[in-house]
Amino acid sequence: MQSGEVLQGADEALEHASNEPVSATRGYWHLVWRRFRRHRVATISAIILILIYAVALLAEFVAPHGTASRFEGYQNAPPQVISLVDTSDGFRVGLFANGYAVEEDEESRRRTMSVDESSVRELGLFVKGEEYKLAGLIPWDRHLIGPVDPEEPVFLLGTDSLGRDLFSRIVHGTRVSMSIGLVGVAASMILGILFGGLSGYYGGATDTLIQRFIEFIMSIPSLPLWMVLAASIPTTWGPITSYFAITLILSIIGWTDLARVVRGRFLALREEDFVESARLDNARTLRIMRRHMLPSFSSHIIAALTLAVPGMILAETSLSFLGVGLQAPVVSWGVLLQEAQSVRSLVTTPWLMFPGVAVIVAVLALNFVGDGMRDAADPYN
Amino acid sequence: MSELEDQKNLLEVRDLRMHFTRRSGMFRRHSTTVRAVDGVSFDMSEGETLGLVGESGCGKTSVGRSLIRTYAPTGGQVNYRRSDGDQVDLATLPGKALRPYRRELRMIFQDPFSSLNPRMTVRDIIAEPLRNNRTAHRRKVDEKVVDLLQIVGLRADYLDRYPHAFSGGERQRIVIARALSLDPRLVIADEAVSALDVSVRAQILELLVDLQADHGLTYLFISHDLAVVRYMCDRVAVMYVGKIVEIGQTGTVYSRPRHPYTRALLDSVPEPDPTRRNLLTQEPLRGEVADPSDPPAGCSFNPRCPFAEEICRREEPELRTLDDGTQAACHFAEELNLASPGGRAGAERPMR
Ligand SMILES: Nc1ncnc2c1ncn2[C@@H]1O[C@H](COP(=O)(O)OP(=O)(O)OP(=O)(O)O)[C@@H](O)[C@H]1O
Ligand code: SF4
Ligand SMILES: [Mg+2]
Repeated sequence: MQSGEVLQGADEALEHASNEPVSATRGYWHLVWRRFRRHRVATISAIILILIYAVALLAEFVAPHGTASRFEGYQNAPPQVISLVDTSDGFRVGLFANGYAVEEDEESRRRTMSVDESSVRELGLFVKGEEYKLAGLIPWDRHLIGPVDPEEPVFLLGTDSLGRDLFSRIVHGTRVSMSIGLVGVAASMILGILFGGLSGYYGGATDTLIQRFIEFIMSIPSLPLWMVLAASIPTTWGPITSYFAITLILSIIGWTDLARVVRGRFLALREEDFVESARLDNARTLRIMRRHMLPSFSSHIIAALTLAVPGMILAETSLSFLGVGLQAPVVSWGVLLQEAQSVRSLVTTPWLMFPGVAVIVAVLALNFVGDGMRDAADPYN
Repeated sequence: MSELEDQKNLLEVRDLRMHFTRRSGMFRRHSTTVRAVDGVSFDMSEGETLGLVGESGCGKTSVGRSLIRTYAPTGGQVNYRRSDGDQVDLATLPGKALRPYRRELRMIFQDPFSSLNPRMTVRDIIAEPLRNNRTAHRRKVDEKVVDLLQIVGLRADYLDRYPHAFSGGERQRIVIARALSLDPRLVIADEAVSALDVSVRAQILELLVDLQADHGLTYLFISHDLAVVRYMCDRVAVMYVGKIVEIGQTGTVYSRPRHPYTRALLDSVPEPDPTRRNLLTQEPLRGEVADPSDPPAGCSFNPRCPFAEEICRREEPELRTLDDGTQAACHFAEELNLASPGGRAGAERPMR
């Protein structure tokens, strides 16, 4: 054997050595984590996701402005680019953007805003701005980023026709859009584990009944069903109530996939010797399910849940875009996209499509993390 | 039967049956009955080791599982003598009433990789039966676990390791520790060493023998390895297609089998000494094992038996006691002389 081969082999052996003391007492989750980290794209996506959820949590702080703040005279302002140096007047380091110029068409009297390269506006970190309550609790008035002079606002992603800062609105929309996935998936999880568990553990007639029911639900085209249900939410309901109604509607279909995953795992595990030996150890049924079976595929559940979130987000976006989801005072990515819903706005104010970019980034990140999770879920193979 | 009654057997299995119904076809209209265990009777006295041998699929595991009631037998009795002397029939007890006996009858599984939960540490695995049965005070559980580890020859500092960090032999020691944790009386070892390396096998077998002596255990030792059975067992039962065809003292059965199937099984074991191995005299078992869902009429072994006669295809032979105490189920058990390989040398055929 070549010495190189030996070394390579030794490396492998260390990973799998039966008596390697460090990994011997390391639990399952440690191994899953180690395997997940090897998945570069998934790791990066996980970091992006953490950032997105941090933004969702601290939206008021991250956004320079509130969701409803209108800037008179800044309707349909295009996005601006931040530069780190300013050379217009000597040399300065900081955060800078150009100002705006307004052209008025004499005939149509339509105002068009453009970036004015000759003027410079300064941005700052942790600047004073509108007052808000951080996470709904702590009153504060500092913003992560914002114009140093409130009279000279900067719109990183432009404004809409009412002069509202799109960047701020996307940041605020993150909260609703990203949490609707989580809440919906939590509801799916309860239904999925319950029905999948019953189906897989008991088998037989219980299993057949639940499976037929799932097939029935899956055979209904989901978008029309959602639309019918969403359209039947009374308009008198407040934003919070309709938000939860929408999540419940989305999870009506979302749980079926999870139920299948859970059922398959239970069916396979039921026959495992270690489950049987737990039964012979006089463990009660619930304990067997909870302590001996569920932990064996909690990572699979997490993977399935992660993969279910983007579906929920997309569904909310679609419903809101079609006008039967969340309604105007609530800000979500879907609601924002609905406002971009005209050919004219596509041509004259294309930046209004930016919420779509946010959706794509979030959905891709969730999918990559879910895939990475699924691959890492069986670290012993 | 008076002899059996005097001995106060730990276990008396009578006419045990385990038939599986398999449904197939559209709408599950067709059903076949697999007679995995079809009228098995035997006794086990306290402290003995009974071997159960036979080809794959003959129903050994089904017998073991019927005894510990992971299968619900479809017929017969499993009379178990409790430590207070009373007998209970485990075959018909409902699930709840079985709980106390699950502590006294324990199972060692074949595959030490699948029988340990990969998500639990050794400590939790061995403590699980103690906790479920509340046999040890909460604070004493850890002590007891350490004791058990030492008994099976594992170091106490392995406590917080996960199963994946152990070799097959070590895992089987953990399985044995778990089986011992509830002070069992009868241990059913189903192919307990088959999955292990040959070099580790002897160590585990020795451990089992030592434990038997220390704890007064009774073993039902299921195996298809005749050499291992000879080493381990006081008595041996040979199964063929759901039935016991021969049962007796290990030494007697090995030196003078009374059933042609036992002879064939012994002949199929390779001679350990290669200089004496003779492929010509070492006849492999002919033919296919009979289908347990459709066994041949008469003696199940008749299609493969070199001594089969007309009567073998017509009448099923009873298991009966012979002069040397061995029981065999063959019409010609008295006449055949199967002491030497091949069973030909002295085989006299009274009628031909
Ligand atoms: N749960 C079951 N359902 C249906 N058929 C079964 C079941 N368990 C066993 N059988 C059938 O019963 C017969 C006996 O099986 P069993 O596992 O008892 O044999 P065995 O002697 O232990 O074999 P091996 O040496 O391969 O372990 C086989 O034909 C098998 O297919
Ligand atoms: S009964 Fe007949 S067929 Fe069966 S083993 Fe004896 S001789 Fe062979
Ligand atoms: Mg078996």
